[in-house]
Amino acid sequence: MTDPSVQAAAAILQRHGIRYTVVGGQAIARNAATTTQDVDVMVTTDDYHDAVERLSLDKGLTLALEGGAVTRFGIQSLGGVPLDVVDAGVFAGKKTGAEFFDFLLDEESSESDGILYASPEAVWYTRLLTKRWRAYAEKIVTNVIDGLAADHLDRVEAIGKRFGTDAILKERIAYVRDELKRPDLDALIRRA
Amino acid sequence: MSILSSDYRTLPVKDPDALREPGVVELVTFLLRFDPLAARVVAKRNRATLDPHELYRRVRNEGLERQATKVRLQQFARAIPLVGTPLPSEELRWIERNNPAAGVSR
Repeated sequence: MTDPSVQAAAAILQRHGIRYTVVGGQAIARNAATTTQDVDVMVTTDDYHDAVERLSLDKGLTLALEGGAVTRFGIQSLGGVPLDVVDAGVFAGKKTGAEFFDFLLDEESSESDGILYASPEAVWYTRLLTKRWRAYAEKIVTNVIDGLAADHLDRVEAIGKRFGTDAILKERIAYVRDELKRPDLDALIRRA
Repeated sequence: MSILSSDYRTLPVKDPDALREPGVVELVTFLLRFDPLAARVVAKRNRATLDPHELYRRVRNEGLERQATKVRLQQFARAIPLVGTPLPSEELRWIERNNPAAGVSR
C-alpha cells in the first residue's frame, strides 16, 4: 500500500510532468520499518531548477527551505509534511547528474502503484555521501537490524566505483561495517 | 529455548525488572539497542519527565554506555560513562529538527 504522503507527492509531481524517483526513508520503508513521514524525491540535474520553479507555483505546496541541491516544500493537504526535491548531480561524482539520474531510474529503481522507488543500496549510497553521513550510518545499522541485508554495502561500493566516489565512501563504508560488528547485533536482527 | 513465538521483534533485556512497569526511561534504553537516534529524540522530547538517575541505572544495567555516548545521552544523565565516540552535535541537532513530533491520530 502506498504511503499517503508519497501518494500526495506523486500526484503533484505528475501534475507538473516532473521525472523523479523516491529516495530516502520512504524508499527504505518498502523493505524495512521506518517512522519516516516526509518524502524525498530525486530529479535530474538538467530539470532541477525548472522543477523547483514549477513546484513553487503549485497551490498545494508551500516553499519551506531553498538552498543548493535540496529544496523543501510542505504538502499543504497533509499539514505541511515535507517534500524534499534533491538534485541528482550531488551524487554523480565524476559523471553528470543526468547520468546518475538515468542510472538510478534504469538500474536502481523499481515501480509500485505507478511510483518509482530507489533501491535500498542506492539510498544508502546517497546517504553515505552526505556531510551528515555518521548519523545516516546509524540509520543503516537500524535498517540492517530491521532485516535489510548488510551485504547491500557491497553494491554501495560498486556504485561508488562506477561514479568515482569510492575514495570518499571507503572510510564511511568501513565505519558502517565496524558498527555492524557489535556483539549484540546478531540477536537483534529480524530474520525473514 | 524460546518460550514464545512472535512475528514481532523480540528484544533481549538483561534486567527483567525493567519490564515490570516500563516508562519513558525504559523506552529510551530499549531504543538504544536498535535505533539510538530515535532514543535521543524521545529523551529530548520527554526531558521534563526523564529521571536522570533512573536513566543512568538502566543504561548501566543493560550495558549500553557506548550506544548512549554515541547519541550524547550524558546531556540527560551526566553520570553515564563516556564510552566510544559521540556523533557530531550538529548531526544530532539536524536529526532532531528533521523528526518533528507526528502527533496522535484519533
